Amino acid sequence: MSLLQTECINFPALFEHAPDLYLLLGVDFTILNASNAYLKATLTKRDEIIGRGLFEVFPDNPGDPLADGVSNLRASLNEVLDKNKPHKMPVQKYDISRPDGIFEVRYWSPLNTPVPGPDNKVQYIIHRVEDVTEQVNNEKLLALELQKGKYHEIAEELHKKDLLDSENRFSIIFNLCPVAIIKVRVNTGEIKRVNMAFEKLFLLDRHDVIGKTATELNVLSRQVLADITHRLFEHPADMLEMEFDVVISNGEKRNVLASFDIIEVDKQKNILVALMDITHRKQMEVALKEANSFLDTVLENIPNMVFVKDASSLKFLRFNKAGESLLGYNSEALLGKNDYDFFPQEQADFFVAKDREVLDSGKLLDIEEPIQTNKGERWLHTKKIPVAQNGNPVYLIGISEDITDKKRQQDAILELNKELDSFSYSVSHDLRAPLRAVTGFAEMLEADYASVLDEAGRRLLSRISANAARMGKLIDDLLAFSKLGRKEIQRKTIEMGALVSTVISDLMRAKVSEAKFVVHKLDNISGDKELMTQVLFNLLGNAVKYSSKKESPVIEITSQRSGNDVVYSIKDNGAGFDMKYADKLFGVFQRLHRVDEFEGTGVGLAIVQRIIKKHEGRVWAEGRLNEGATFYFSVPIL
Amino acid sequence: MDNSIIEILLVEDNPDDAELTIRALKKNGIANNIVHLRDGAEALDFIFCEGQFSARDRNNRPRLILLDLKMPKVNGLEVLERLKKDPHTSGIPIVVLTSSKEDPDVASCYKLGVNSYIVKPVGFENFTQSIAQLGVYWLLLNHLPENLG
Repeated sequence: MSLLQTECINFPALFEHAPDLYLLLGVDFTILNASNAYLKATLTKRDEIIGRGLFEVFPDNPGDPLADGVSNLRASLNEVLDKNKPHKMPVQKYDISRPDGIFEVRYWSPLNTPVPGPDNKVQYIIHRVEDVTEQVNNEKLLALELQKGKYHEIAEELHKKDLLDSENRFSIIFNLCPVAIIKVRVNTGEIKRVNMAFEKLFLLDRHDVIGKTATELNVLSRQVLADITHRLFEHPADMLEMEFDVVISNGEKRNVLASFDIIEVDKQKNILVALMDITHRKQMEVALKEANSFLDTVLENIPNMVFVKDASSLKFLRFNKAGESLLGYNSEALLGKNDYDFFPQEQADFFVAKDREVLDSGKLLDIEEPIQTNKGERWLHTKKIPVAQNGNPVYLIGISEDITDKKRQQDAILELNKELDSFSYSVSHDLRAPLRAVTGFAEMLEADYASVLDEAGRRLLSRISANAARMGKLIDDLLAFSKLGRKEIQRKTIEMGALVSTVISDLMRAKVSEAKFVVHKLDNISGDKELMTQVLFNLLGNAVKYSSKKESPVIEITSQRSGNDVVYSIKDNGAGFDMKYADKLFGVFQRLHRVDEFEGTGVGLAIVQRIIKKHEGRVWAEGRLNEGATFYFSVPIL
Repeated sequence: MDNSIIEILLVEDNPDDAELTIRALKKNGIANNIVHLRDGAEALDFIFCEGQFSARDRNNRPRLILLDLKMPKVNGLEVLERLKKDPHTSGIPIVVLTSSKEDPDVASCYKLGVNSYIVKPVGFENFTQSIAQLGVYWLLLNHLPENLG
């Protein structure tokens, strides 16, 4: 058949009966014709589609929000028009509408080829596609299984079914492996093969890559390739791994971890490079490093000692600056050592026992401990914290505050208290003895010689006795007051109504008084009964004393809730006081009346205040001169 | 050495306290024969007939001992312990005299088997009363076991 005879050939019929899937498009993407195979594959009929726009006939599946068939195909066709060159599209999902309107999922491998007109400009475009739905589905299934790590089983399965020979099996695994793989011929640098993951990583189509050199495409730089080759040939026995950056086709950088090996195909040496994209991991590492450096800054600059020990060896892994200055060693001297390298045996034993306790129990421990440092003994308040990974202890973190000064102060206070104790003791013993002699002999004098003394002499004698007695009372009160400071309170529920009644009857037995008591219903509180009795005794005793010169003394006792407190009040209509001296009421030995007006030592209210403070309460008073006083005290409800 | 019956042995270093105590006892007509010793060492010598008292009859035991606690040389607690440990003297009633009921030694005295204690009050009146009650109880009401009497 000569070329001249071609006009006799029925080209449309030829086209229509071609076994592959063809579509003939105008430059405005109008469908001009289609092969029968195409019509069959796309579930369309020729007369229904000819003359219509391509995208009107094949719209995107409205049910697939990610559908990009129309835009990708349009872009490809435009490129063909633009460059007047064929364009092969990567596998494209492009769903097909069935006559009943339901879309079928389809994958296509399209190739768009320009047909030039007489002016050499594009006159038509031939769109050739391959329906790869089945392969894609198979690959997807395999990929899924491969992701689960079942490479071997799948290959076995396929092999058993005689579906694949070993070369094909390799191909499948090579292609579907989620790590990017590239095969480069050693002597030419020519890229022989890449897999899907490679295409995805570099955003390149394998057809644009194969046959070109890796350096020309900048897939692997000359330097990288040289390094790889060098290592492969110099250290063939090593596990060969390298980290480097690659630039993908859109210009972005990726960090990759590469492993490589040599394979021989057709007596030609090839390098097989597997590239794992570790960009994300690298970014995480950088972020982690930044976070760590932030924490480091905090750790190094806090005023407390912080150390980290390895959970199994209890060796120091970390020490901050405060720790170095506290112990008087620098970090280098401490790291990798354990407690026995620095502390006396006994102390190290103690620390290690506590460390083990924390790690075994998995619970934080809060201890106060003395330690022997390079600069002498220091007291530390330490929190030991176990750090576990997957349920196993890996680290022990210690945070210590230097409480040496606080401790010394506490010790000094204890020492002072002891001294105060022995002081009180000698006050009670040694001051009383001469006092006893004064009163004793004064009384003897009165008993034996009263008759030889005149009135003035007897008055002087009675002044001596009265003052000696008063001094005895002062000593007793002072002792009682100082004893209170050291007494621990024993809390119990106190029936205040009953207690007030008891105190009143005791008071009335001891003193002759006209006072009338009005006791309202009183709230109960939790407190120390003995001490609270003392409070009531003193306050009610004062009320009786200071109202004793009134004609009809009335003493009223109430209580009321105020927030979280119960407030008690004891009101009398006695001598009262001027409010400008109110702040002096509760001081030790502070009095607002002379002894010849009302007897007393000025300790009673100081004792009241001390007891109420011990109950975390408050005491205060209101009064007016000659119009009575009201004393209040509050005790929190527990 | 006088071997007449000793009613009360007073062990007291403070001469004023001793004088007041003796006066209070006498005023209440309790004791006719009171022996006053000025510290614990003297008291032990007296009771166990040693030193300056070696000529004394060991079996002439006092019917009551009034014992001050705070004394030079041998203090009251030590005297008490010696006497209560020795079967020969453990039956003698001992009453300790103290300046304060806060004295922690009072508790120790009870552990050692003291029979009673008196706080020496500042007021002489109270003191006289306390001494009187004590004397009546221990000398008149409280009978010693036969073999010691």
